[in-house]
Amino acid sequence: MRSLPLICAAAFLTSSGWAATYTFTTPDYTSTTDFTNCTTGPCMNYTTSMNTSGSFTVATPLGPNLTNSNIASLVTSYSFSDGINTYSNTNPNSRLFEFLVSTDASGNISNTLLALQDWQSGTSPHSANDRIAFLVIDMGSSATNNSYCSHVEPAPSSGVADSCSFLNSDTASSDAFVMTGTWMFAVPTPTLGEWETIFLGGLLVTFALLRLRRRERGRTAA
Amino acid sequence: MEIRDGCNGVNVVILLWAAILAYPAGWKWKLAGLGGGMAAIQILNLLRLISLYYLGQYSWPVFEFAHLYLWEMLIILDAIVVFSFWSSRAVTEGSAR
Repeated sequence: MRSLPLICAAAFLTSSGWAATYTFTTPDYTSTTDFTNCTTGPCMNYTTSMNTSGSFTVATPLGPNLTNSNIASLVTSYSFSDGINTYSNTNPNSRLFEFLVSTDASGNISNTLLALQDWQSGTSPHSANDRIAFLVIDMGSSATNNSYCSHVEPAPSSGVADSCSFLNSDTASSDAFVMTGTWMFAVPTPTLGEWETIFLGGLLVTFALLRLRRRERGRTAA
Repeated sequence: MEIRDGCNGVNVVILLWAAILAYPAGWKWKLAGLGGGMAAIQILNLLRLISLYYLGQYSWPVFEFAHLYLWEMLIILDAIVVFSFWSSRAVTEGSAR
């Protein structure tokens, strides 16, 4: 069958992996602290009608029974909002400082230590005293806007360059806190997995060849 | 439940179309096979998604079994049955040129 490569190509081209997306959301903040004297930087206050929400994506679903596993290098994309700032892999000012995950026996997230930063002043490479927002997600979330950085270096955990390893708040800073949050996992339901698709391609080829051979034999006999 | 690329049966349809297009048969019969094959796969995939939704509400182990094994087997069987029926009629309905 001359067009055998066509089927083989179709089998491989249609085979692909399925990314997993984990979504986080908190209730509205239960505690906020306003800035008292806006000396520098983008001063803004959180309100108790704001919350933290967002998601991250990995190439394959997280495994079961992980304990504080560093998955920073596995994250293909992320985007979180604390109500004022958006931390995203597409935001050039965002830094994924730390990403530790624990999962249960089913692979669902049971706990995280996710630390995200967003430079709010200066340009890369940043320096001490540049303003920065940061968001920490564990059982709930803790957000701080317009704090200042004391020390810039690559993040020890994630290795991300131009991160702030020591932050401080001052009178121009504001923060918010909530104790609880929920992780949800978007389950991909592919029609056929990679190997199953290739297997089906092989079956179709085999079936077609057998049927053609039978047809040829029928013509020869005639 | 999230239905993404790869979950909509398009990859199976493409594979079936490739087999139909590669098989020697008249063009009219090939077109009939393309349309009928797509309909057969998509209808079964729709049933798959509906059943997985309700199974996911009822029991996660049953959902996993249906998702990872049962429906994959049924989709493969569906594609093979469609191609078998179509190719068996290819000689009588449309001869190769």
